[in-house]
Amino acid sequence: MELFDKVKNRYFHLIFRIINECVSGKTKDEILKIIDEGEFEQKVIGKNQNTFADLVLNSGDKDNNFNLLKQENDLFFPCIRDTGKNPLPIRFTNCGRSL
Amino acid sequence: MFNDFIKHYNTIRNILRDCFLYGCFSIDDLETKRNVSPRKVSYEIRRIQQYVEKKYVKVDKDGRYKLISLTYDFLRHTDNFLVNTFMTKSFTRTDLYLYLLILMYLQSKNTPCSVNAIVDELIEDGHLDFEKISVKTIERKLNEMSKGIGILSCDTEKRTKQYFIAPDILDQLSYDQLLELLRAIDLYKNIVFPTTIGYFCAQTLQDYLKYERKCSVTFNLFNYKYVHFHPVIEEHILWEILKAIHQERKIKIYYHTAKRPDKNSCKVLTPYKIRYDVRHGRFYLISFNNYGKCIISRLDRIESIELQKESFSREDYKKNYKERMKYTWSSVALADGKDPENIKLELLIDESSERYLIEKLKNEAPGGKMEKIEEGRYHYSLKVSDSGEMIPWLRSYAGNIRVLKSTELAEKLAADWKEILLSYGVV
Repeated sequence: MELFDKVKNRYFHLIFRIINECVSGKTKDEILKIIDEGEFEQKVIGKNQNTFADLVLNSGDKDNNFNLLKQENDLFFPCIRDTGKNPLPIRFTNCGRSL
Repeated sequence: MFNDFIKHYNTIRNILRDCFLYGCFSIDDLETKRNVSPRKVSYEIRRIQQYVEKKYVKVDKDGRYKLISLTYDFLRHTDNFLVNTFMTKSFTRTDLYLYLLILMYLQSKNTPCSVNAIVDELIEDGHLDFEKISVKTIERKLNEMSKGIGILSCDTEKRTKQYFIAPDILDQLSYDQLLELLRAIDLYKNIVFPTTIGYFCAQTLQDYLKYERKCSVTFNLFNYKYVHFHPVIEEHILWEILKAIHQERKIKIYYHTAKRPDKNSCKVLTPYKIRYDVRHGRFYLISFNNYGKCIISRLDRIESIELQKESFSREDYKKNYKERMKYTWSSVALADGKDPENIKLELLIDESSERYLIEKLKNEAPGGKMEKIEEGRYHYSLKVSDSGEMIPWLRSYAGNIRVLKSTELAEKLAADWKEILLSYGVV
């Protein structure tokens, strides 16, 4: 594994956090707060002027939305859930294990 | 997916070093030095300002030129914020989606799954569109996640690969033990190289405590003086070299010299050791070429590295390394057929209050011989490959040390002092 790797991108970690936080459901405002705390000061903008928050909350461009969360009533949950475990596991990468 | 990120760390490394760390290059200066367009430089500067928080960036003016530098109070900020520049690699939507979806899927299963089983169920549940993402892409991703990243494990059963979440190595540790581990990582992350990995580990452990043990922990117990701050930007090169040394494989390095920073040359080398000069905060690669000549390369001048198929045995270079580096002060190897320089220093101390300097000097310049001439006067003799490397260290003993031998070194030091006093208007 390289030291400069995409899975260590700040936004990868941000969405990882959001998915694990959403295990028992989070409102749009609560998710926006997490994004606000973890994002760069100047927000990143993707294709068609969609912000990261738009794509996480599936309110952006249909083809670009992440679709990793699904909305039920007012709450957002991970798209695969009800497993009794955290939606995403936490493990050291090969880099971390080699330390 | 987002233009704010970069594919290669080298895109920002030189600009980060020249503009932000040394802080003495304006956009126009850099254009001349590196032969890059001012537009490209201002674009990358804006990008770096995004990665590094505003509070750490200082802007000075030199006439009409704007000089940017980083400002860092290591006693107030315990974390090395330059590590954040490693969390900026670009990714596509497919990268992000597949990585997290596969993790979520395998986490929800209690048994290992084959590629076909994963694909079939994800398509059935409407998570995958076969027209957009092929089975081959998913297979590649699974391979990357198991072999490259190590977050998945893979077993082969009846010639079919079965994937599952990698075993939890922290599972058997109690909460207190995990806290102890986190404290240790928190201490060593600024001490052991590559520091970036220490930061990654601390983050993983904090996440583990938060999501697996439901305890949110953040602490900054340690403050550091003289933390290894800026060498972080050379760590992706350092990491590649360490991997090559570990695997005993030769490397091809693309390298530039101080005189021609815009022109790269390349050579195939046998990497043997990494040396770190604490005083200058510089990494050096000690390697050998195909003729057995010892080659020293500064990591900040290496543009990139390619791992070669050709391997080597470290044992074959052990003797050569010892001979070449036995008398080195910092990084200069002993040249072919050259004898080391004999250096003699006179240490003048007040015996009642400065006796500690004797041991300090012996520790900092090991391998020499100390001789007491009279009360408060000692002679210290040692051999070095290149005495020029000692000058910054000798300056730190101003008033206590006099160079008796060699004359050349004494003259160099005297000329340096004269220049300093002249620039301060003292003489």
